[in-house]
Amino acid sequence: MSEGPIVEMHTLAQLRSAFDRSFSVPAQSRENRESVIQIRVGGEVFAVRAGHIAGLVKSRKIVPLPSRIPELLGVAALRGSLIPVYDLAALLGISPGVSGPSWLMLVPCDTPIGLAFDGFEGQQEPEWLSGEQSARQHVRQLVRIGPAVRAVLDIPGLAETIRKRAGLVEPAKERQR
Amino acid sequence: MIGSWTFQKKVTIGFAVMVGLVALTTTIAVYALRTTIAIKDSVISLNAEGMIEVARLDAAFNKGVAAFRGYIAAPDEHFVSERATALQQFDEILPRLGRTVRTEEGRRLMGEITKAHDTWKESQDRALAVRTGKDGLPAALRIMREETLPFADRMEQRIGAFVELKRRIFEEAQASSNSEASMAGTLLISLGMIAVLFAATTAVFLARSLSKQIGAAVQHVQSSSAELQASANQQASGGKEAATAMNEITTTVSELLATSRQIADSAQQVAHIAEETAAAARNGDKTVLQSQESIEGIRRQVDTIVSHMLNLGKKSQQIGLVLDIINELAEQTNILSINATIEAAGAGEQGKRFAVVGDEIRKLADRVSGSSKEIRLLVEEIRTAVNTTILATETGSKAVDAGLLRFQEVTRGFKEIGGMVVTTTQAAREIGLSTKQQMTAVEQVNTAIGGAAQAAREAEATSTQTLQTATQLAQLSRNLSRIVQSQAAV
Repeated sequence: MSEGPIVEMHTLAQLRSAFDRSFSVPAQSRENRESVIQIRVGGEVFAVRAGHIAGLVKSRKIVPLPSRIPELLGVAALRGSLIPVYDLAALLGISPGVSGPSWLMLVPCDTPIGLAFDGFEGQQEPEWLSGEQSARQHVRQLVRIGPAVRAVLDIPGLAETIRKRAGLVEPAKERQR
Repeated sequence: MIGSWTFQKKVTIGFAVMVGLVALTTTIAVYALRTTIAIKDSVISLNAEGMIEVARLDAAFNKGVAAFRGYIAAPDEHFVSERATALQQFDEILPRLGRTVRTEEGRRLMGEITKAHDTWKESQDRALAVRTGKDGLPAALRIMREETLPFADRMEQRIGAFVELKRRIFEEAQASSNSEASMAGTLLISLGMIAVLFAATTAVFLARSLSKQIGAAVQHVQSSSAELQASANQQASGGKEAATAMNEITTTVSELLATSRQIADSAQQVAHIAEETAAAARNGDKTVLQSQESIEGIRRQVDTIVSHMLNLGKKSQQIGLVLDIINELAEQTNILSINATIEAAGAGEQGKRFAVVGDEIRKLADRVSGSSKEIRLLVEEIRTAVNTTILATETGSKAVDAGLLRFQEVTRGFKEIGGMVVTTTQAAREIGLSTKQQMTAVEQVNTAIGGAAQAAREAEATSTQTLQTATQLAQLSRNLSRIVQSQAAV
């Protein structure tokens, strides 16, 4: 009990020091460091490049819509517009979580798309593992975060898949691409 | 019937018969001796007197013959007086001689002698009467020759016959007395032989009977002595065992005495300790009452602690709520910072500095979130500790209640202990008193057992002596049996 305040003061001092020290680091050293966010989909944790998303929101109300696309959960109001929300677990072929997805990430494209997932595990700067590929669908790369190795989701590929399923991409254009 | 007689009776009767036989023999011997002596005396006195009187008669006769012849030769008055004396003696002897005669022949001879004496005396008188005249000698001689001498010869013949008769009677009496004596001797010899035979028979009978009886008795004595020896042996061994047992009992009683003394001392100590225990119980009662009061105070303090802990739990819940807010804020901040970072990245060079700030804010938010998680964990630990403390306090409260009940029971127990200690004290005193009495009794028992042990040792010595005596008796009976059997064999 007597060590509690000392630890807290020590942590607080570390926070202050780290915060102050961050501004003294040259900006150039930060440019090559790309961060990822870790999300929990079903029972698995994946990584997503921070640069591939346009934002994160939590606990948005999703209004279900009748659709022929089973992955479409519905629509949600975000930043003054309605965006379609797709179940990321269903897109990845993973069994959904127990409580249902409560987080949304915005995928930047012509028509923003929301991908719903179960949990947000934080933002880290990982160790990129070059030369190692995953056989899973929509997984482009692997990173090491601490002791764990995470699969990095191919968000643009997923967005393209959704667009195809939704009929937003013409077949000829598709062939050209 | 004789077989059932006792040894004394048999010996007495045997000796009585022997004494009777000896007495009979002695009586017969005395009687025979006296008879023989009487016969001898009769033979000697009567016949000797007769013989003497015959000799005297013959002497008086010869004296008369001599006086007659002297007067014839020389008539002198002297011869006359001598003749008269001789005749007088003859007349005096003749009756005495007649008293010794027992036979008819003797009496006939005595008559003939008397008659011849008278005839001879008359012829002498005539011759003497003739001699006194003148020329009387030849007439006297003639008468003498013709009458007196034949009468004198006849007289001598009669006297000689009488003497011969006397000698014959004497010899017959002597033979008769010898025969009587011989018969008496034969009778005595017969009686003696009978007595000897009876004595021998009696001796053999007594020897056989007595040897049989004594042998049986000796055998009985021998078997009895053997049994007595065995009994004495057993008694000796029993006496030894009794002496050993008495020694062991003496040792045990001594140990019992020592134990009784120890018990008496222990009882005194117990009484002393019981008194101290009573005092301690009273002090314990007071202490328990004080402790009960203290426990009631503790109970109140525990109730206060429980209320404070419950309050602390509530505060912890409130901290949890605040932490939820902080966590929510941190999460929102984190989201905002991430979104700001993403937006800054989309703003190009102008947004890089802002991206740095956003990143740092995100880190701060992460750390705040981590700290809030730590705080939540700490608060959870605090709540767990509070709950544990509350449970422990409630348990302690229950324990205090139980302790109060226990203390009440302890108080009752102390009171009961006090009562029991009083009882124990009394009992210990009674035990001490009883043990002292028991000790006295045990000392008396010890003394009595010492006497009994001495008696046992004396009994052992006596039984040993009895054993020796029985052994000697057995040896004696064997010797006696050997003697009796050897006599019986002889």
